[in-house]
Amino acid sequence: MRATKSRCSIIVLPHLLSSSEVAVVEKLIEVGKPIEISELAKLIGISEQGLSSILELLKSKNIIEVIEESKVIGKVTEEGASYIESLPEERVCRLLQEVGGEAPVSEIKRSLGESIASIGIIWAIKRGWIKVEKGTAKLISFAPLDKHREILKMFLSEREVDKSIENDPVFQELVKRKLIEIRRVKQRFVRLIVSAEEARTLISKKAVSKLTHELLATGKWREVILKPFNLEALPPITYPGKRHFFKEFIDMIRDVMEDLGFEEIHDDYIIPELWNFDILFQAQDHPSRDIHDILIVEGYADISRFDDVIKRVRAVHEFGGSSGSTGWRYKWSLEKASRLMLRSHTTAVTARHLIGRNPPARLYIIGRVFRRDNPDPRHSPEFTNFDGVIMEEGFTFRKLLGLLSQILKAIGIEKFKFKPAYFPFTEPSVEGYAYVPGYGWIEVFGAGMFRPEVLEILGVKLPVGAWGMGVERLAMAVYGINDIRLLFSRDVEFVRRFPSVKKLYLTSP
Amino acid sequence: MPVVRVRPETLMRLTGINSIEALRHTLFNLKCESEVGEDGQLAIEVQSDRIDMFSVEGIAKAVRLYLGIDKPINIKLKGAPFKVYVKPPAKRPFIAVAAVTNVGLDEEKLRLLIEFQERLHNTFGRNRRKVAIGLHDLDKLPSAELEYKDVNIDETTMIPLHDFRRMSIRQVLESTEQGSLYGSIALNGNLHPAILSGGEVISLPPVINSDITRLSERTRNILIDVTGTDANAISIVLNSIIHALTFYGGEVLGAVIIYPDKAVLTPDLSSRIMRVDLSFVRYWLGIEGESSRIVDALMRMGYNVKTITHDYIDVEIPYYRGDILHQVDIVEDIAIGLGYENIGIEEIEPKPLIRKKLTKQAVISIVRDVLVGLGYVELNTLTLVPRKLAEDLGFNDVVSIVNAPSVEINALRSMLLQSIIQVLRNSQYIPQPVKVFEVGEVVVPCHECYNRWRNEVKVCWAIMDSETRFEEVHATLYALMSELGLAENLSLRPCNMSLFTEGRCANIFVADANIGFMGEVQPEKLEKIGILYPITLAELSIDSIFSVLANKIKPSLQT
Repeated sequence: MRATKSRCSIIVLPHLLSSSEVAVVEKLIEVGKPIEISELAKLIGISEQGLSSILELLKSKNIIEVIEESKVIGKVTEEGASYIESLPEERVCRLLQEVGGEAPVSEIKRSLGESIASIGIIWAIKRGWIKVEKGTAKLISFAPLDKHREILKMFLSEREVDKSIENDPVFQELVKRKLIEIRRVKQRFVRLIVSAEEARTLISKKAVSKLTHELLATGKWREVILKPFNLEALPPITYPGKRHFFKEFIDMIRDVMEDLGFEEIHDDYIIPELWNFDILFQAQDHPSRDIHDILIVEGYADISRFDDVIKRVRAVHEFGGSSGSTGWRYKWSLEKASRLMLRSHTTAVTARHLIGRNPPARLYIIGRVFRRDNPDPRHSPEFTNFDGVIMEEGFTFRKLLGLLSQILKAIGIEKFKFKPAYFPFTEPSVEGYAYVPGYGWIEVFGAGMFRPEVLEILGVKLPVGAWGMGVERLAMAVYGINDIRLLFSRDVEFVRRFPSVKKLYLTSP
Repeated sequence: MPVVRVRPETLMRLTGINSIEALRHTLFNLKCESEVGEDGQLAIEVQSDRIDMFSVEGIAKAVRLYLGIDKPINIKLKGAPFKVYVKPPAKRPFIAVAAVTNVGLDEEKLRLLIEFQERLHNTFGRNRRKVAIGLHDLDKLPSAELEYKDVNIDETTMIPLHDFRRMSIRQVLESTEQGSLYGSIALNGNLHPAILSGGEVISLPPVINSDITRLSERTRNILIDVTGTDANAISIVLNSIIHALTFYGGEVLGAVIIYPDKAVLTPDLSSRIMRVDLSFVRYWLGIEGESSRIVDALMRMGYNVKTITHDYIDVEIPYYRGDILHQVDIVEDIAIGLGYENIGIEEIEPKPLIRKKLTKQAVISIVRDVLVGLGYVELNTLTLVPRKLAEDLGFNDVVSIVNAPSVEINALRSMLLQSIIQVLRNSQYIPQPVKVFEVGEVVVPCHECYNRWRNEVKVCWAIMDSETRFEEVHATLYALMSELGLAENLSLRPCNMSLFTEGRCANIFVADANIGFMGEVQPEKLEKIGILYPITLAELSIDSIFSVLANKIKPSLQT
């Protein structure tokens, strides 16, 4: 719901009436006396609601006034209607008259019915018409209740109760006995507060709300008055088309990387384990390869065409190849490496792209990855990785820390720290923690120098720095979103209402 | 990652550091994140490569070395009084045994030790499949002569840990909780590996120990057995346990393991010598370290330095470090020993990319600009979709996920519209019209691809309103194609897709290339998936548009 704006500072020129206002004033002149609103609406042929808003405008222009009056409406109840011919106490007295002035109460009940008899006896006693002693009722006097019945008849159908009846004790008794129901209703009457003559002048000039091509073309714009815009009413809500805020965040990273001279690369979501794990020197029984953590699809890839890589992978895994490493000392399986899976990180892509590539290379990818997680506020089975590699003569761990600092600063993070870490395919390994104002420290990336075993597998002769980062996590901290599912929201309203200005928070910590 | 939980006072006592913040700072520099939980315990996240730090004692030792409180030392076997006769069990052929004296358990030490054991089982031991550990009160051991072999599960009996009944191995496997969890790992028909001492089963690896040698708060000396499928892995695990237990100053006793073809002495506490080339250190880390700084860093990480020359350093790898595969692992320890903050940073030179003008990203950018300009709201949806929804919409080519955790995410979309229709279904009660679009990737079958499926970049836009808005979707197509310079080659041809009402859809062609389709979603489909508002949509392949553009623009650039 939208808040109503307070009314202020709008100067309304009384002589500028819209065509609908003119119609109302015309009708009021014609009727010539105060008229009830619903009746007026009927006469003009518009809804009462529509009329009310026009009346508000006329009121504010001091042309009319609306007078509220309340009135009482009465109607007999079901019980009252059954007494139209005679009231219970009348029936009791008539019965007694018939049987000679006295009868046992039980006898009365038997012939009038239990409830009529009981009500009748009580009221007859109250009126002093009968006396009851030892179970016998004796008639003392009786006068028919003509007026009661007359009033009941008057209210057989609903009607207004005028003042004289309202104050009548008989009417009041009937109301009290719930034989007549009353309710109060309010009515609003409209009355011109200018003279009919003044009103006629007011409506003689035509005011229009829209300047049209026709008015301009015919020159008729000179004959009309353009009404001031209604600045009080709120406009209808419209939503701009807009880019998704999370994709804007990704675009921002893309810009940063391109400025640093990195080229974007791509690969499929469905890849053999070979790319996801084996080329990164992750042993085939490594826990992260467990099917509880990754998502797999039916079947195997035909990786025979990557014969060179396979040869090197096998040698390095089994005994270190010629990398100077001991390897993992187990029997490497080609079948396991061929198994198809949904990539679980994009280092699978950056590493693969280094195979057979001539240095120097600066590569990055921002792409979706998949894990076997059920969605909850902190987990999504699918999220976005930002990975990069750099292969250059003279690249070192020290330069990697420098590059990571450059990236963090460029995306607006001024305070960060590095922590030693472990990843199976980098050595040394490092985790970066960023300070996000209003949020605190969060882990933003893992990075390191590709292990010599990995370089051997990739056929790379130079040191390679690599990093990977969960984009959602950082975006959530920056945008102040505490549920990762909102980034993939199926609620269009959430995206519509997410203010574009929030992206500026990135560069103003 | 494994988490070690310990009372802060305990760790402060073991390390001799009195400030929890100083302790946490040191742990941070040793790869470990930590926090004090609500229960007052310090939770330390240890890294899976350093199993020697899976124990509180191992952490304390690493901290003391790092701060220079302790110097690296070697330990030596104090004899090998145990003999283990092995008839290698088929599914679990290897065993290593050692004992540590004067451990002096108490309630807390016992609890930490059992937690350490479970941590090793769950991670490095691959849930006991690869490695399992048995811990025994040495003083309760029936005999120093042990056997390790497969036994008949019906003919052999034992008293399982924390029980008092003697039962057959079959009963142990079938009736105990441990038996149901781990009983199938090493079972081979009616045979199962067992360790016997004096003819009595003391352990049923990898399932359960015997109650006879149960550890208690009064245990002083501990016998360790480690069994598994990998001789190297069991040796590494045994050494990490010895490393923890010798923290209290006890001695290590070894065992001669007698296999049918050879005899082996366990544990192997010898320290390997590895050469670290100083040029490699500089080449890899980018530091100009004098040898003395590097030697200091090495010692702080527990290495004894044997030889220092101008070109290299020979270091002794501590017996408990099974994670050192290559000199690069020692180079990392040098970096950690120096402290990452002391390595400094060196920024790289930004290199201007020689940007190609026509990239897929550039096409995507135009597409997004046009759609946003025409009032469409961009979406960011999951590629994962429910298989049933795709099928209800008439698409049977989606890739199924074998081990999906729920039916809501058991397939990958083959069309963007599969994701977008889910969004529209959830957006029926917001102000209409709902105009949305997304540029994203889908996965489609690819018979000629080595991996059988390929990604395709697509764009889909859709309008949901109280009535069909075909003209607007159609107008959007023309606007978009004009911006891409393809309007004149655009043609619409009749389509035949079960998603759409017959005669109310079109295939979209640019010259002879089919780049997509558009149409009004058939009422029956809408009804089936629970949508009460008409939806009109278009879906185009950005990959196809890109190749059309690439072919079109290339010749003109050449002239």
